[in-house]
Amino acid sequence: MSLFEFVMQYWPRLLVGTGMTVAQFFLAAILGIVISLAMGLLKLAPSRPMRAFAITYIEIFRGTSLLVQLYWIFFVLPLFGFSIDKFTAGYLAVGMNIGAYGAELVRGGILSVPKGQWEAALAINMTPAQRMRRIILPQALVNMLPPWGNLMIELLKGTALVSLISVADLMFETKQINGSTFLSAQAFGAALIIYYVLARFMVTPFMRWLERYMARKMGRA
Amino acid sequence: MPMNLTKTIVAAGFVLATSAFAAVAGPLTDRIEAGEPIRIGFSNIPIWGFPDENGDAKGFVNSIALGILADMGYTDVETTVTEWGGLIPGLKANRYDMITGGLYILNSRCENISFSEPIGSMGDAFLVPTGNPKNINNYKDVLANEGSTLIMYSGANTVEASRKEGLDDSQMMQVPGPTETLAAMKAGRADAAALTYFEALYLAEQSEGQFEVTDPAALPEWTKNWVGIGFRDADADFMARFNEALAGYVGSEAMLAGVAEYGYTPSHLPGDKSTEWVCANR
Repeated sequence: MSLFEFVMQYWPRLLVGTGMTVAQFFLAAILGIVISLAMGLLKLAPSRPMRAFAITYIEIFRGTSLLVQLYWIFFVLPLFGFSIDKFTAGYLAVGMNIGAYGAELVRGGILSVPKGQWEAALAINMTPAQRMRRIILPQALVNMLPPWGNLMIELLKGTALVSLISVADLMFETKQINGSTFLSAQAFGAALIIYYVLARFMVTPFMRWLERYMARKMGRA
Repeated sequence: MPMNLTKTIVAAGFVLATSAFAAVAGPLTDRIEAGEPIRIGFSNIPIWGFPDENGDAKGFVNSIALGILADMGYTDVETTVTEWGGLIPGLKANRYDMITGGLYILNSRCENISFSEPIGSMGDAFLVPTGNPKNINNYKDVLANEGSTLIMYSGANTVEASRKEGLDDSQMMQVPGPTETLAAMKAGRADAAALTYFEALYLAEQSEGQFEVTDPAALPEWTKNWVGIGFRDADADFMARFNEALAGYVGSEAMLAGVAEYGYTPSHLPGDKSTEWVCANR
């Protein structure tokens, strides 16, 4: 069976799976961005317990395998009484993992804003919160967007792991089709192409657009 | 961090963990009384338990389990496909209430979960290239053929059997499931695959003449196994009622009609062995 015939026959299942992958991606991305900002800022906080909290979080979620974290949330947490359904467990694990990586990007972006900008904001009597929100963060955002594009693609591919806890995403559907038809080349070939298309024609163009948009806002275009 | 603060946090964490433990939803009976569906976990294993095109549970173990539940008056059932290796962890983590598998009743599994009375009994066989060029019919043949490799599912009974027969890791190739088995055999990564007889037949059929199945009788008598349905230890009350219904269902006309399409014949009925005996002897 050619790849084309395969897709013609199984497209409904592949489509449903792709929809689930996209949903997991968006939810994990939102969660990841929120966590990154929070942890990145906490890591720069003057208070020591706050920094310790952020460092602990980043060390745990960046330092251990995403698959192990996923299994922990799905198979081990229920033993302590916290049962999270598989859909939520999926994007939670991926989002929390990517958030730990993102936190370092946020920190790096903020530290890369020239010292003069901090001093100038101080000179015109801005409060630290105002300074961060109005002067530092917008500039930091422009600096960190390119690596964020990288991270988002990593995140998209990371969602394939949720198939291992029975979330019916693209990878899960592909494995089920492969399991009953044994058409490995076609099944995984189709999945490969779909993941590439999602990354190349959805995530990358959006990030590029965002970079240009932010640069224009900053008057750097 | 000051010492007493650490102590407080540890104590608080402990209290939280134990109170959460006590708050775990009760056994299956509670779920049913609350009007929630019975959750069954199974894996994509041909003949035994697999999803059809619509994701519905097929296979002889699912057919028997659903048949018994229907006899008991339960039709509100929710089935989930998962990784084979995730069945027992999923059951223990309260993700499923019953696991159909298919699972053999094995001593190592009995230590972790409870099994219903047996619902079938069957042996294993090897899948080999057509003509069996290396003349491999059992574990001892693999051992005698230096440099030959045997495939088995990770966590399956065949892993224990291989070790018992003296194979070491250099001759054992553990894969996650049937598709990986067939792919590895086709790629020439192994010389034989140890499978349940049913699956070996099915994979041989799928290979379009590339592979054949060895005689199940060539394997030692002790590799014959009994199939059961897995429950949590805490659901002993429900399992007792399930076993009562099972006694009337296994071997009945309705059951045999339901499983005929999977090649299950009266010769595969479990006989008079109890789960207690199987747990102690397998």
